[in-house]
Amino acid sequence: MTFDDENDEYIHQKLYRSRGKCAIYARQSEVYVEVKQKSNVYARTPVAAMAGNANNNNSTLDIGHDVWFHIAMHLDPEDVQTFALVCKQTAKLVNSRAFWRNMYKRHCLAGASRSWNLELPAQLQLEQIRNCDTKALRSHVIEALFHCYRPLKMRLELGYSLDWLLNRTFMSCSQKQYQCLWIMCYTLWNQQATASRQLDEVGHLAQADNDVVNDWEALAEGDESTAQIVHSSGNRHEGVVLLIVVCRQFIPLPLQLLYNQQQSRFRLMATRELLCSNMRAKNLELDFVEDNCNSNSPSVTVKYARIEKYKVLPWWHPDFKRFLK
Amino acid sequence: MPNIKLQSSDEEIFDTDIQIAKCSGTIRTMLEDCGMEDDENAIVPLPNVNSTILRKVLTWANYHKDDPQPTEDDESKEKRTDDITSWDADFLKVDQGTLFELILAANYLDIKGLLELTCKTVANMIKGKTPEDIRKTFNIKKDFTPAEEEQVRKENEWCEEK
Repeated sequence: MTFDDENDEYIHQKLYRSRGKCAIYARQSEVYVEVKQKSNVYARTPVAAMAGNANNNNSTLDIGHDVWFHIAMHLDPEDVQTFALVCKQTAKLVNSRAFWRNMYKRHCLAGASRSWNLELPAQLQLEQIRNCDTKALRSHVIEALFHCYRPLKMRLELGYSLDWLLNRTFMSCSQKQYQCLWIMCYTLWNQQATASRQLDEVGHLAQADNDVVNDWEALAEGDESTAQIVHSSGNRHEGVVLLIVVCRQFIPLPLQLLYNQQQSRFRLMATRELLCSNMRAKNLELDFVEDNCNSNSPSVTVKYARIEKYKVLPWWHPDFKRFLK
Repeated sequence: MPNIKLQSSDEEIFDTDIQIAKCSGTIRTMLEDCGMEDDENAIVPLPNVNSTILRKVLTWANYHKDDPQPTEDDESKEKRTDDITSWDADFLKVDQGTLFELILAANYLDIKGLLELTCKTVANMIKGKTPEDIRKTFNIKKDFTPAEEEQVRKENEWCEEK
């Protein structure tokens, strides 16, 4: 018996054991499925290939940075995220200085004087933002767009829903009394707890104004390092969203969110806006879960009964800095 | 009206009205700096533009020859993407390869009107589409890791409408 005959015999045994109606039989472990590799030579240059076919010549077309750059210069602000999510090249373009300068010129200076716009506050005027670093320029231009660009202004008028707060990390909360009202302010961030260094920086910077320092040398050094962080990272509030809750009665701060057992941070998992039994007021409930906790059951639920109103203020909102401590 | 000869990258010669050719900043500068305006036999080489694209560019330039030249003030004006005329829209009913080549040619030849028109057309193609749709439209490969994609999404969350 040759080697081939032995193989045939073996295959026959494996596949044709049955004598009944179903003749083919094979165990799952003996069946191999192999992925066929397709050639992807033209994966990155399909347009060049198309152009080549269309023009019947051998000239190569550099579909790259130049083309995307010109297209980016004609984008509307509401399309920026979509454009950035296309590929790494477009994402990089959206983070360039030229892109944000162009965006500012087109939408914040158009139809106005060439160097200033009365709709913008002083800190967002061209003269003020001209020399800042790219990250700071980007966040200033975004803030300015919400002052000048009509579709984005409309969004501010409509207000932001509680959905904007979901899955954000709790940073701090505070309250203050204004006449007969209590105003609670939650600060939430959109980064995960793994970015602990950045979180600590943000937390540190948020508290920096209120710190009491006895060692003046350390204070001087500290100021310097703080200034460096602010300079290198642009807007320190980027990614922060505030939840402002206004109540008539005093409700203590949820200190459990500040002093948890495992040094982990809390994430807002769910929000509920419920109508009171008398149908005249609303209750607001916030479910927080620990970031390190595997279960999805809420660790802390904060309840506000009979709220007057609430407001969600992302970092680009013109009212954001009024409420930030 | 005097004519001028333009040579494409595939060495085809286009005998063109000098005023039409001058809508290109690059050609205008070459003519002025090299003193070629008075020489009827002078050939202007355009090594970055092939004959198919140069023909399209000249067709566009011929139609728009009487348009006012864009000023510096126009550049800083808000660029609308919905003001494309029907002739221009028909002119740009081409495959994507040609459209991208027209952008590059308009940039190389320094023809602001054509550059704006072609970029607006692509910007309009992007409008209202998801990133996945855009990748499909332009045959672009997704090169983000999930973490990078999430990061870009978060950085630009200000665009979102929830």
